[in-house]
Amino acid sequence: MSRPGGYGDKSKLPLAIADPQQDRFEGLRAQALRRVGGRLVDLSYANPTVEVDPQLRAALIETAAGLSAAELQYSPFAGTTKVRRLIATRLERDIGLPFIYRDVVLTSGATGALSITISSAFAPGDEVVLLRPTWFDYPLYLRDRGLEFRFVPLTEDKRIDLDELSGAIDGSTAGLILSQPQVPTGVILSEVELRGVAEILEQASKQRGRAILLVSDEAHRDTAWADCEVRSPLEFYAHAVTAYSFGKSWHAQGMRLGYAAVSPASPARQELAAALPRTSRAMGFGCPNTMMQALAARLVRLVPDSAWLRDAQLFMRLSLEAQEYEVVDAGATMFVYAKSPIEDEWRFIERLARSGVLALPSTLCHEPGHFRLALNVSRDELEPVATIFAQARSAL
Amino acid sequence: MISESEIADAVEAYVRAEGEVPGDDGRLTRDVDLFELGYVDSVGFVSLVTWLEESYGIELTEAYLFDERFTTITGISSIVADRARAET
Repeated sequence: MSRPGGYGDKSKLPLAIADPQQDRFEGLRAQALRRVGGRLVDLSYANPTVEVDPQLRAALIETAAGLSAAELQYSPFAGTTKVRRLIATRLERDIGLPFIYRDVVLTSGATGALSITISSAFAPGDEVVLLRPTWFDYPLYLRDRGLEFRFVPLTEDKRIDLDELSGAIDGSTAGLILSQPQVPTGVILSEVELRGVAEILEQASKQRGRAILLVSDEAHRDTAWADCEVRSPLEFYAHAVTAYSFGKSWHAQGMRLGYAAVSPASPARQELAAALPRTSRAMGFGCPNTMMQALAARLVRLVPDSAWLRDAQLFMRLSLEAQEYEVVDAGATMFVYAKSPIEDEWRFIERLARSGVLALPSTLCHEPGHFRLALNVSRDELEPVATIFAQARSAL
Repeated sequence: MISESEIADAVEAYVRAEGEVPGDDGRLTRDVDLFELGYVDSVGFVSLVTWLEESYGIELTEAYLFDERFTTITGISSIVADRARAET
């Protein structure tokens, strides 16, 4: 059976390729590059150009130097047992649940973790709830697997509106995907919000007669730059899978190194833990290479230095607020999310791009009217960026 | 003759070192199933057997390796101590 817009539908390109908003943005980026060349400060996607954390560099060198021949052979589809166990030990310490290695599946970044979770846990026709604004590709993944989805808008300050969520989740809901900290805003969800979400899911699960799966995208769990604690949603709701990214934590996304971990409290713990590696195997490229797996064994015991990010965040937020931009208050990630001073954020972003700064239009995050900055450069390099924002504002 | 308790000390040290078991891992005791909790995997099993045979001058045949005691530090130490006694 073919799915509309899917690979079986000969009238259209595969859905994974067709993305007009993305194409429009790439056109804008190409135009900006032609106009200002290497002077373009690209703050659209998270690709920092700051110095590599010396701890990461040392871990890379030690890993490469210490690999045995055996460690360069095929690993199990879920990753090597030792690395999975070390991650389970860290998760137990951080989240307070008794993870064991079988709960953890190494993946090619958090995207791989999300992808195998969605494929393993949901069936075509299932409905999954998303919060808006959201990470670009949740809808893409869901559509590609023939799943339905429903957006629940966040409040003006991008917190969870529990009444809205409660109204959207019912007996027909199969899953909820949320990010903690939130993407694209960087908001850290509070214990009150997470407890509220858990209560809603528990009630609706009873109605449904089957537990609703919470997919907790914690790719940015270790990127808090404010003095705030990031609590995992798994502390509050049992039927859950978390997705994590070492690349995001260490600001080295190109490593494509992450994992999915099933909550030990989940009623489907064993089934999910068995299904995830099978799905990863079916994808053909799900598991990170053994070099990266060995690196994870080192990184899981280290804490990245995010002092530069804190400096950059404080500077950029204070600058924008001083210029009367409405910036969403947040405490994690390298993102700054703010309201566009004109309704059509594309026009504003085009204006910025002409001056040499590339921001991301929030339409790509499924909400119009805002822009997102990924603070890819140091505080000092942000000073001319702040000036360009001031000029853009006063030119309106 | 080396005691069973000395063998257990050595096996635990070996498992901790080879498995890079962090100091805050409170789950590794002498009576947990090393395979069930991922302290030893299939590759690690071969290394462990080789290390035991070389360290204690014994041979561990299939019967010992499939012995249900060969899953915990206590059980492994007991088997090794038995074999060492038998082979001297």
